[in-house]
Amino acid sequence: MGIDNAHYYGWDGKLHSPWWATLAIVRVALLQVFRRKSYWLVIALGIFQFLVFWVIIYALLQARLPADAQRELFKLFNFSPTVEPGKDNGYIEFMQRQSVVVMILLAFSGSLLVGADFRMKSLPFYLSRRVDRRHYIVGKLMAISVIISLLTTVPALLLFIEYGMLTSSLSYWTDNWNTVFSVLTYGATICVVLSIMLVTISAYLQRMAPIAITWSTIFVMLGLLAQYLRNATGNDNWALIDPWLDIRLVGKLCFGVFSDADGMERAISAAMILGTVCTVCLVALTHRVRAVDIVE
Amino acid sequence: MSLLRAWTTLLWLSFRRLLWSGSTLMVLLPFTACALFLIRRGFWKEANLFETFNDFSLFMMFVFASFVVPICAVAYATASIGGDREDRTLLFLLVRPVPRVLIFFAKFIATLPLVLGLVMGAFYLYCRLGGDIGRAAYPLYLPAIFYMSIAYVSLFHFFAVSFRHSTIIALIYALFMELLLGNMPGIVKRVAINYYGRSMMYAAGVPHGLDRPEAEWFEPISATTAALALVGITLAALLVALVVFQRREYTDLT
Amino acid sequence: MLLTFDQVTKFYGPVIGVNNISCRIGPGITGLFGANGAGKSTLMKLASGQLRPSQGEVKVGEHRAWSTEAKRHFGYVPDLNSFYEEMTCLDFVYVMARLYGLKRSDARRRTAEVIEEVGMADRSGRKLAGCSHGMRQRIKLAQALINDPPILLLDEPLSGIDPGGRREISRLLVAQGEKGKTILISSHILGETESLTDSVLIIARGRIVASGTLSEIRAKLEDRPLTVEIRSPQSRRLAALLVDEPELRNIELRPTGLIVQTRNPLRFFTFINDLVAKNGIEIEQLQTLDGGADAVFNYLQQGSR
Repeated sequence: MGIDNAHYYGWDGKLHSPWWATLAIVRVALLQVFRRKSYWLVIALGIFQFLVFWVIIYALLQARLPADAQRELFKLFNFSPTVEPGKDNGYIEFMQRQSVVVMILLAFSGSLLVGADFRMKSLPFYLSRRVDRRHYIVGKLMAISVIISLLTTVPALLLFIEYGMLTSSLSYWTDNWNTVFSVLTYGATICVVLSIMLVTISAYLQRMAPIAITWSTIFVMLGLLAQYLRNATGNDNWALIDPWLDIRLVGKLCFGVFSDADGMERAISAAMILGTVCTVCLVALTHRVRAVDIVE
Repeated sequence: MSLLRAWTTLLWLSFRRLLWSGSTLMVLLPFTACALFLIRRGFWKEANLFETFNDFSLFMMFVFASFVVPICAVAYATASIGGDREDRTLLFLLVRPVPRVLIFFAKFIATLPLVLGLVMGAFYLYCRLGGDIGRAAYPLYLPAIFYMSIAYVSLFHFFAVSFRHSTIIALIYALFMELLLGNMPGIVKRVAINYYGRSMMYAAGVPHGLDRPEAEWFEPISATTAALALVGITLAALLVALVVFQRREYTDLT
Repeated sequence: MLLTFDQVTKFYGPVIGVNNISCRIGPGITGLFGANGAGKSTLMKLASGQLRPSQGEVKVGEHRAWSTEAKRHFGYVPDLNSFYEEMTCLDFVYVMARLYGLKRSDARRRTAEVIEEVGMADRSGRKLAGCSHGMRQRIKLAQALINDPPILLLDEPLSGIDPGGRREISRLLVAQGEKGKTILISSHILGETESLTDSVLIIARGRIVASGTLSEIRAKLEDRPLTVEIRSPQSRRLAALLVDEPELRNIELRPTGLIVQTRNPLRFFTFINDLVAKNGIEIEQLQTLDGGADAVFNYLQQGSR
């Protein structure tokens, strides 16, 4: 007998599906992000913005502000608690304002959550188990989606709840149930697009500085350029090079707030742009995620 | 003599590693986007020179100076010492007989030609793409762009020697302080380097047709004061960074 | 050249890294042993001028270790696995040579010499990113030898090297030691470097708990329990006789003989001599089981708790 295995017991249990491992990836990713003090600088900005909106809603409903002051507040924060045809509601406006915080946080998180796996060669720790590249990719996408949701969708829904609670009946919630739907669809669009783009960019660039540069070029600079080009040429289609606007248009498309055919057409174009970008990213990502890195 | 040889080796090593880093490829992205914008916008075709000059100047101020320049500085300045810290290769430099002051200067000086070369080169190219008004704008805004670039490089070197996660701090500064606070009403924007750069640009551009900003939104200081402020920021950041680097024990290297 | 620690204490905030350490390390190979977290790396970092002592002074020859001048006099092999990954082994060592201020030609010559010495001549064109752990250890050693320093500070230099490579590196270090260089090798596995070292420093909880040659240290630990294996065809009878010995802690009867643990080794050996002579017991073999470096080390580690 070569080896005496008498003291070991065989494993008789049944293993979970490897898809359960994606939850572990999400849990670990959240721990990694939320235990970094420097990230809390950025998260604090998001919380601050949420509290500002919280106070505005309180002031509008409870502080009996003069009509002029109310109008000014509405104008300044573009806060409309109900959905009107052709207009966003205040919750989507809040989510849009959170986009800067989300953008900065994701620029950092990409390197930590995905880039480090490639740079430190820790990908085999995942892929040497029953987890294959599909589970890894879905786990990371879910992790980033949860981070985005915690900063956008969840606080927007909390604001909606707050608004209803500060009124004297349940009618705000029952009359505006579709607001929840608009927030959720917009949130889902943000999560899908940003997570796919971030995971792909991070898998290729790995380090924080290049990721952040690329990320901010896409989400800050393209927005600025889109605005300049639209103003200079008068062609609204230039706005479609701004990914934030595309996401917003697709979010609205799900909700159907477009009152004109032109707006609908642009939203469909935005959906096609985002769809193409996400598909290309997913193909590139699948190609990139492999257990063995080839060194020259 | 041997110290000079060691220092020039370090300078060349740092320059070479920065030049061939992923940052170079990435900073080309915003530079290229700007160039494509200018080509599409076609400033050289415009007949109304005053309006075009205004548009060109605003683009240079709000996109190039406020976004591209700090991003380029972040890419190289945090990578020069911060990259070595992150990779822990700084250890191999700190145990060599090269004084820390010289290590810092080698890193700083290796970064400058890359940032200045890219920023100034791109600025020159953009001005050429701007046609006549670009040529007119070039000498007017060049000093502001130059002073801003070196101020950013110094500041981000200070971050790199002082903070373990200097890239995060520098990016928060570049994306939050510069972009958000730099465009807020009131004096809060004075925390941003681009406030001083834009003040210099307004001072140079207004006499040539650039619209004066609304006083309640942006009140520029004089060009001399702004230039002095930028030089002051550069020197102060350099000095503090030097002192920190000279005295600091980098316990995170092993 | 001497490496001197004079009442050196290092705090990391409220945590003490090394505590009031004083020693002078001279030519030859000295082993620095301690468990993980004992303070070896702190001591190495202090010696290589990466850290400044909170109290006391560390000197490399006549120079403070933190000073630039001191750095001319030592080569340092760090316990880290990071390099300029995009460089080849040759380029890396060459650049390190240039950082000592060597001329191009001298740097090239010296690089070739040390690469040969560490046994990497045939693989020097490889990129560091593609090198195995063992090759990287050799390159770290090469960069430390590049300026032919009188002092070598080697933090875990043999970890990850295969047995053949270990023999080669050990021979190289012995040769350096014979040239009169001061070599300080840190390790947490004594067996790895026991045969190399002339003397050892054993560190535990930030303090030096023993120093000297292994036999000197062992001799100082006379009252330390010792385990002895006695092979005898009359092991049962011997066991019965040994039971009366008051300094005995434990007797274990095995098919091949006895395993005896004693509190007082000197007295035990005298006692067993008398016993064997008096009772005519045949002893085939008598050997101490924990007289080696590891046992000494483990004992000292336990003692420091």
